[in-house]
Amino acid sequence: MNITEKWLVWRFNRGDAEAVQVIYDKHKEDLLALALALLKDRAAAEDVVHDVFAAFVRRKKFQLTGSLRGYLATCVANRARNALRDNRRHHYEPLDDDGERCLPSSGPWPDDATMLLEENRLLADALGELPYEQREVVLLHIHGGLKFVEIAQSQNVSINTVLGRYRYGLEKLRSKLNDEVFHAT
Amino acid sequence: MQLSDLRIAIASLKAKPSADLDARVRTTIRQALADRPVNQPGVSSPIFWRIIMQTPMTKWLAAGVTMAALALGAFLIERTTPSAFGLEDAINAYKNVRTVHTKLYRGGDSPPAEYWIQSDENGQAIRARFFLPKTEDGDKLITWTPERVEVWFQTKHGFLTTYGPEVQASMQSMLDSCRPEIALRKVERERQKGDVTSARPDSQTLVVTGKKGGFRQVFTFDPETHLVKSIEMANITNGVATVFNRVEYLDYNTPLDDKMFSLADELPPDVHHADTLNQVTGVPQYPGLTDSQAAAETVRQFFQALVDKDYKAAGLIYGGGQEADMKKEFGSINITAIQSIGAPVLQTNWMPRGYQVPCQIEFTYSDGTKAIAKPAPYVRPGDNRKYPDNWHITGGVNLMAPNLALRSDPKYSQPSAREAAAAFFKACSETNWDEVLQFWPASATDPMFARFKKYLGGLQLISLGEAYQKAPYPGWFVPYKIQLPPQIVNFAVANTNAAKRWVFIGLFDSNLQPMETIEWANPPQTLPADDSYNRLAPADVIRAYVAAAEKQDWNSLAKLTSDLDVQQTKNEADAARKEAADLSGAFAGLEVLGVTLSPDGSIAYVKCRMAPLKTFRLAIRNDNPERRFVFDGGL
Repeated sequence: MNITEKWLVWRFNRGDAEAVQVIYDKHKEDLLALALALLKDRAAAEDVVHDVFAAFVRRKKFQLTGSLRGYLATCVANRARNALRDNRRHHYEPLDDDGERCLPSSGPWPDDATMLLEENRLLADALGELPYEQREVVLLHIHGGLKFVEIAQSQNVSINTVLGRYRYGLEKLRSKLNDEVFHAT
Repeated sequence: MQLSDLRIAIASLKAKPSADLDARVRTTIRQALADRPVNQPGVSSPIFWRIIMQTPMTKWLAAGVTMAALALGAFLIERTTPSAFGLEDAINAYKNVRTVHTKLYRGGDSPPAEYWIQSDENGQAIRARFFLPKTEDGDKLITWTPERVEVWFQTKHGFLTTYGPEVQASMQSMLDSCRPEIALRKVERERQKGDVTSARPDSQTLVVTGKKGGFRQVFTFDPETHLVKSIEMANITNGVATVFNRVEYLDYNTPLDDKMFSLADELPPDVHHADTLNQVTGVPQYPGLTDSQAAAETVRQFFQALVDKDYKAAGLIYGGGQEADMKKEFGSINITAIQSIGAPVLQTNWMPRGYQVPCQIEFTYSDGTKAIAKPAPYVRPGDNRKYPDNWHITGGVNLMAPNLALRSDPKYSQPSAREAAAAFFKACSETNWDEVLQFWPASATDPMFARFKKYLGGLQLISLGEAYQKAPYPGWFVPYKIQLPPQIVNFAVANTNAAKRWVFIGLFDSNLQPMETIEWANPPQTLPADDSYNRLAPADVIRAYVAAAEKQDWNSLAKLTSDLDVQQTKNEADAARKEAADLSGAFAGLEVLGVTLSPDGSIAYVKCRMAPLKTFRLAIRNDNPERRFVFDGGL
């Protein structure tokens, strides 16, 4: 039992601003990294994180059923997906309508998006080349700590689809990184 | 790159937010919480009646008028001066208008208020529907007919049916706001006085500017219908115009369905309903009673109804609340006596005749112990429009509020933070919950308290450090080390993998119901044939798991559980380190009690007893009026 998180949520439900601030401070770097890895745009990623907390804090009451980190990661992913669909920023990569295939990102990461990645530039580039759905599943599962069944529910797809995206994504990622390492050496 | 390394690299991705994001989120948090009805930590969740009448009807109707008036305020006075703007077509066009649909945008990013108003052939408003966002009572959707007003407090999940003759005037003002002849007559008058200048850059636009600067209004007109399309108001400072209000007239004469003027079909099923239309609510001001005495009598009758368990009577005084809702709210609290009704305090900044009445109410726990709550209800007349002299309680009945059961023993307001922490832990160790409540910020009936009782009851305090403060936290931190009460859990391991070796799959309770399951995205790694982990028995797997976790030996742990579990354990350890916590005793005192195999032999439940050690710091604060230390976190 993560009593600390439950306590924070309990305080939040009673309107305690400090509790929300603690939640933000605790998760902001992870959530921003997730948003950045999904969107590859620092301004958009910060907007997403801000909007997630804005929506979170406007909730009348919050019932914590899983982990708070997982919940917030799901919110970030949902908002990032919506932002892409809205295509509010012209340099977002497109999503396919059928949600099964999508175009891989071809361009390099903008400089302002690399701040999470100075130590992980290769990883960031490799992630950026994954199709969006695969990237999202890989990040939500490994970085967000979400279970596959939770990802499937949040994306309204079957768990097999999620597992497939995860396996393909991870394999491509490893292959890409191994190639990079090979060429770099 | 190994998959496990890759996963760890992904899981470790972090990005530092800009100072701008930090500031934005901080502002958003403060603003959003300021808008919420309850801002005090530890206060129980808001109930409908405490918040539904935050704004008396006269005030929220006034708010509606104000928004309209903000757009056209200065112009809604004169109806007699002649029009001189060449807008005769617009004036004539309006004569046939029977319905108007408008949106009113205020400054900033506030969502617009929205109105649908219907009038008769004489231009008199006869029914309306309007949405008011972000009011003192949150979002409100309102319907009005001369016989009935319905208010859906969407944010607060409440529904009020009432009688509101004042609404007619309010809606009439809104309706009139789009009548160009009314607005423009005033403009003409101002123009003739030399206070404003006007210009018509084209046939569809009229710009009115204050001669001394300061404001500008822009009217736009539909070229075909000649009706007003929008009115925009701006302040002008140093030549720069800042729009602070904009009214858009979206539709004229669109037929409005009767259903739009009743909310019954739109309400969520469990919305709390208060009815001041069909009930005689409130307490009459008996002859001879002053306002102050009427206020005190209202509060007395309300609490007496709760003592008598007469929830219907209590609801009638409490905003017209339904008996079932009142019972749900107060039924679990055994209120047994009114100890005192204090002198009512006039609330001049709230309502001309509003009072707050401090009182002391006795309630009794199921074990017979008694405690005193000190609510201070707010009370006022005028909430029932049919019976405007009846007094109602509108809030402040915080029976579930913090310090509910606090004794007035000076020893609780005197100790240092360290002494308070020591007393808190001692009470927990003795399962003296009445004493624990002296340091607890909420009611004993709060579900969180039950959770803490289970978690802390019987703990052993091992050490307590010196209290310290760290800005910006206003309270104190007291480092501690405790041993939590012994727990019985079943660690489950399975051998349904290619290597047929036992690996960790989750925690189960004493009934073998899952508490936390481990997710395996990939099969367990294949170990060299001579690796001793291949041959570990179920109980040994758990012992090895615990040992690896305590030592933070991630390589060994990875042989026993999934990569994700390893990563999550690592994350928890990192987070604990940041907060100066110590997880090394998380499995302290582990003792294997036995192993149960599933029928097919693929899962083994390793029953264990353990008494975890926890090293952390208690957050405790006394920035309350009574300077009492109360628990605030850190367990």
